[in-house]
Amino acid sequence: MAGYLLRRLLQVLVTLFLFVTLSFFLIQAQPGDYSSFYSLNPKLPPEVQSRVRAQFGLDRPLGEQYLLHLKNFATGNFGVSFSHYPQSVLEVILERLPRTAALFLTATVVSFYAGFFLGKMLAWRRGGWVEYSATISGVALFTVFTPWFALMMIWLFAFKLGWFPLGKFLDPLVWRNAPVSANQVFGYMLFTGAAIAVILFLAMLLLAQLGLRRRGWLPAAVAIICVASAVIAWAGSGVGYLALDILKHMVLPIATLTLISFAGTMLLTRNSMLETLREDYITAARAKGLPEKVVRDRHAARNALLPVVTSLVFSLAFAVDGGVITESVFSWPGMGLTLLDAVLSEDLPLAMGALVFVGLLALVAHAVADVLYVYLDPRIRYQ
Amino acid sequence: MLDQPSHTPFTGPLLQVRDLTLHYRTRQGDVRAVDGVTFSLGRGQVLGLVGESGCGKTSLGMGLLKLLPSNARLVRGEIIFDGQDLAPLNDAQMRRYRWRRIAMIFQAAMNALDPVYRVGEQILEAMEAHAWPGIEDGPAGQKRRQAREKVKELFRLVGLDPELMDRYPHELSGGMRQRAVIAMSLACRPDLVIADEPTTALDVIVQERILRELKSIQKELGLSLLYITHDVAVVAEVADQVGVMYAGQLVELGDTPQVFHQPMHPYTAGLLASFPSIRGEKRPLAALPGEPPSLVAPPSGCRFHPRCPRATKECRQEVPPVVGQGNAWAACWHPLGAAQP
Repeated sequence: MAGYLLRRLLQVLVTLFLFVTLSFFLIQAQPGDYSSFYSLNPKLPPEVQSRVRAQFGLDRPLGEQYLLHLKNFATGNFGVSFSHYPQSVLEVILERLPRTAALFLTATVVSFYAGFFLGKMLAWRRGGWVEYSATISGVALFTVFTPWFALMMIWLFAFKLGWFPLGKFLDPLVWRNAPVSANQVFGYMLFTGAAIAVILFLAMLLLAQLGLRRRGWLPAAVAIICVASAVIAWAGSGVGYLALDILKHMVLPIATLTLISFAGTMLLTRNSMLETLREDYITAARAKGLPEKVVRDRHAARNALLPVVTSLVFSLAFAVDGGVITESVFSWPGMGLTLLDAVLSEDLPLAMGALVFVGLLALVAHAVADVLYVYLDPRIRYQ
Repeated sequence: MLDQPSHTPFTGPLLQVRDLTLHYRTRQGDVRAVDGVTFSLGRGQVLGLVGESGCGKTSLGMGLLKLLPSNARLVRGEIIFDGQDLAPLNDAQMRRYRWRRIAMIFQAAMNALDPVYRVGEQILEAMEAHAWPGIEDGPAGQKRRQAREKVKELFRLVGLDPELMDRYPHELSGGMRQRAVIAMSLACRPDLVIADEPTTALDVIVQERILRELKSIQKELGLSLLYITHDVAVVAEVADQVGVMYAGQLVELGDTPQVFHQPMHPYTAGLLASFPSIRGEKRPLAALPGEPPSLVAPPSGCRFHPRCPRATKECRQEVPPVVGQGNAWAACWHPLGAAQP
């Protein structure tokens, strides 16, 4: 297992190196360069223009530039953002990466659980109007044009009903005299979320170890206690209203992303489960006199999970594209919007940095999914 | 050694099937997969059930445990197991009989193991579902440890290395998986094991060996065994009694030597003639002419009449009478051994 992890990590590094190299030469292949942002200004005399080029190192041979580029990336030096001057690219990205991660991680986890659960139930209780309506709405959500759907969500829930804000990350009026910065609050929010997840996971492990997992209400009780204590802690911190403001802004984008991506999981799970239910080992599980729930969850759903996880891995790559669209529709200042803005404002260092981090995110997600798959399917060897 | 099956006051035959009729609803109409089948199986006895593919023998086996697809319907009949009729029981009530009293070795048994769990785990799971039969009461962990020992014992009984219980199914060969499935069927100390083509997917040598072992285990544990197969030779080897199925009906039943040496039903004779005999006299193989009939609209009268060399007008029109008595009979207008009309 350790050897496998090491090999997989090495693969990520090699792919990242190729990705950085490719993106460097892609930029070279395009008209203009890093200095265009400044040097194309017609008011600058030619000698100043060439001085600017020299400052960026653009007068050196291509090979040397490439090596310098690699060295800078390796040392975490992504340069200074033009449009967010004087912030460095790394600062901008480190501020925005968690926002995207929070959005997509939540949407992915929620849509995966909801889609898997619904798909499982649809396959288990076939026929009837529930299955038909769920399948039809699933197909509709699966094929809907994302920007249109996001706009409709905003129109209905933010504009017509006024339940949620129209977009953006926070409401400046709420934050006018805030004692702490939004990034700090958001950082603590992420920490809270991660802490709840870890505690829940450990609690499940403990319950399984004690053989108490079968009692359905126990995990639910643990979850409620975790969330309740987090809410109490935030309420007592004095900045709970700020967290609530960010949370309100998160609901609509997460709901939109979840609705769009859960349908795919649901439909795939349903098909996968229907196929699994025909397997001999399902009949065998029934013949063994196992309770229906055990046949459904422990045998049928467990095997139906495998292709669903595979498709999840593939869909992670598309989540990045979707990020650009969703984030710009909701004006959510995450990586996708940053990438788009950087490209539009010719902020090349930031665009490069954002691109590399988006790539890194996808690579890491793939690696995690691969490791997960090996754990889920014993037939796959660590190779 | 393993304990003997638990004894109950009921002293009749372990299993009595009366007029069992199963239909599948399909777009073409009702498929009469099992039609009025009646037989009984005593304790410690082996009944072989032979017939061509699609004659309803697998449906019969699954029907006894009421493990049928949702479009199947138990039209009528009784499945009296140990004095209790299983036919009217619901799923929750059936669960107490499944595996604990009646276990099964599946057709293509190699696929009967879930690929994502270790083999031993799947056996323990069955034992756990039935409150650890044959394991002394105690704390959960202790019962589990004892049950593991029991599984190891079962593995030795079927000729498997006990270490294999902690392997995944894909790590075992076909023959090993087959033995593991046999071990699994014995885990809850059932009274009756239904074996549905348990060796068909294996090569002949492994098949032969497993068959012998199954027979000796059956004798040793005093199990009743319902052995379903298309292979006449296999039945001759394991069964005390033979039932011959044709188009959803039982057409002949009798003690194995008698059915094999003096078949009464022309279909039985045809079936026997279509199998080569290694030790017997050399003779040309006679394939039965024609195809098994559709079970949606079976032929009138005797269902075998379109393929029967002895068929007459009454065979085409009237349901044949049962000739013979008790546990040796055939349903035929013109049984062999009687005068040709």
